[in-house]
Amino acid sequence: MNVHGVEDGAAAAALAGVEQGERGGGLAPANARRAAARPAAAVGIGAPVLGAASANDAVADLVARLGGRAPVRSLDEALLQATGPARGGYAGATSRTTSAALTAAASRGTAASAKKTTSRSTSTAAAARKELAFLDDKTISIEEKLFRFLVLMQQKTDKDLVAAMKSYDEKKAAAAKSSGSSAPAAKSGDGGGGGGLFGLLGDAVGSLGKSVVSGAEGLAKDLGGPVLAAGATALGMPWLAPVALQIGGPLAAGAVDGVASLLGADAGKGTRSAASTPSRSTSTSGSHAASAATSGAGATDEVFDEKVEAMKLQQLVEKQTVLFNTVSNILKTMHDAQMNAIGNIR
Amino acid sequence: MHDGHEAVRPETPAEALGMTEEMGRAMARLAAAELDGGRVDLARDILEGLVVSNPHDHAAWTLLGAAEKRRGCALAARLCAAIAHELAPDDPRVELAYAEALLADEEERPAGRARLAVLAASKGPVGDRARALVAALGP
Repeated sequence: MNVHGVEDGAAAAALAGVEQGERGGGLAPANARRAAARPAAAVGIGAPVLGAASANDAVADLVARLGGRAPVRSLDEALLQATGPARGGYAGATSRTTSAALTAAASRGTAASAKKTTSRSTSTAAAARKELAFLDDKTISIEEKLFRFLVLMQQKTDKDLVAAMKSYDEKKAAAAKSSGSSAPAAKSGDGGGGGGLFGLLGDAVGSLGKSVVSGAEGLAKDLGGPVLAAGATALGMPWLAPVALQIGGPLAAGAVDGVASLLGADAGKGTRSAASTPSRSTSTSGSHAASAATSGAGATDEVFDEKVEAMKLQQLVEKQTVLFNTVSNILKTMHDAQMNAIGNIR
Repeated sequence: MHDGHEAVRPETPAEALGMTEEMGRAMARLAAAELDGGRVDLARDILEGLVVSNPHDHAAWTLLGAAEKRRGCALAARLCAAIAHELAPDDPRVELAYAEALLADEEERPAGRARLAVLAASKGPVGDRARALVAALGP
């Protein structure tokens, strides 16, 4: 049976009929289709199916006419059929909100925020054009432009870093005042896994915290960074995705230790060697978070705030470092090219 | 950042690429067939791509958990099943996979058995499998 569900014999008969028509002087395309349809009709495929957009449609119709379900080749496939539709995330889905209850509120808020975003983006674009006006200046060299661009980006990142540090301080003070305030996201899981990326993931799914934290290294190797990042996103913690991406994959072993100690995932072991990770600069905040994590479930939310804010700071610093390295490498390459040209002339 | 994500989640790679649910489910079916055929690594690759494309598809997470279980990675299987359960707690197939994943942990085995006992009362392939597992586990 071919993909369209028509027996091979019927297909051959259909082809023969078309060829016969052609030998007889040529059938118009419509007649050829009807000729092919006759053997197809014998097995229950109607004319509309032949015009079906895909083979799947033809198969589905055939199955419906035969009165049975589509043949299931595997148990997993059968169970997959029993699974309901995906909760969004695919193109053409109606809503990207996290729950139906938020849909109406989000639509109202989205309309208002869209207007703000539009005006904000317009003003932001105008400010950016003004700041980067030196790029259009024909009197300065490319090296000068690169350098000024680097300085501009560094200044912006410095401002973001200062703002992030102030925000860190404010949120920490707010969390200290309100003992029952919950963390911005992440549920207070009943597992009490002790924090860290894996602790957060484990607590988010409930009762998995300890297992996930203790098996973090194996988990990172088994699943990998992108899958862990997807898991963090699925559980409503998309800001953990960059951390997860760093943790998983071939860097799993060393990075797990480093980042776990940074985030206070393993409070009992204190400071660990994190030789190969860039997180050493924030290890003090990590150990501080680790000591805070030992004070019980009531401090979980406070530790969570510190960790998230520390991650933001780390990301800003890394962004600054990457930018600096990139531009300085470009400048160095250009300088080397010029020196080579001069050397060749000499 | 935190205020925004509570109302509207970020666009997934699947949405950015124009990948429809039909395509996603077709790929999941392909992975299920590969899993059944014993080509676990290939199925896992497909499913990993699916979950990365759309982290909110509970079916992909469920099947990825099954693939990890076949590879002997109990903790990874349990995490995948738990994530799927968080996404779709009312889905019987997801509940079944979660219950099976709990069985792998000695501490959580009673909870897994309890969930299977509830599923055993349902009809269809989910109920059949749950009843088979309950019978295999014994009293």
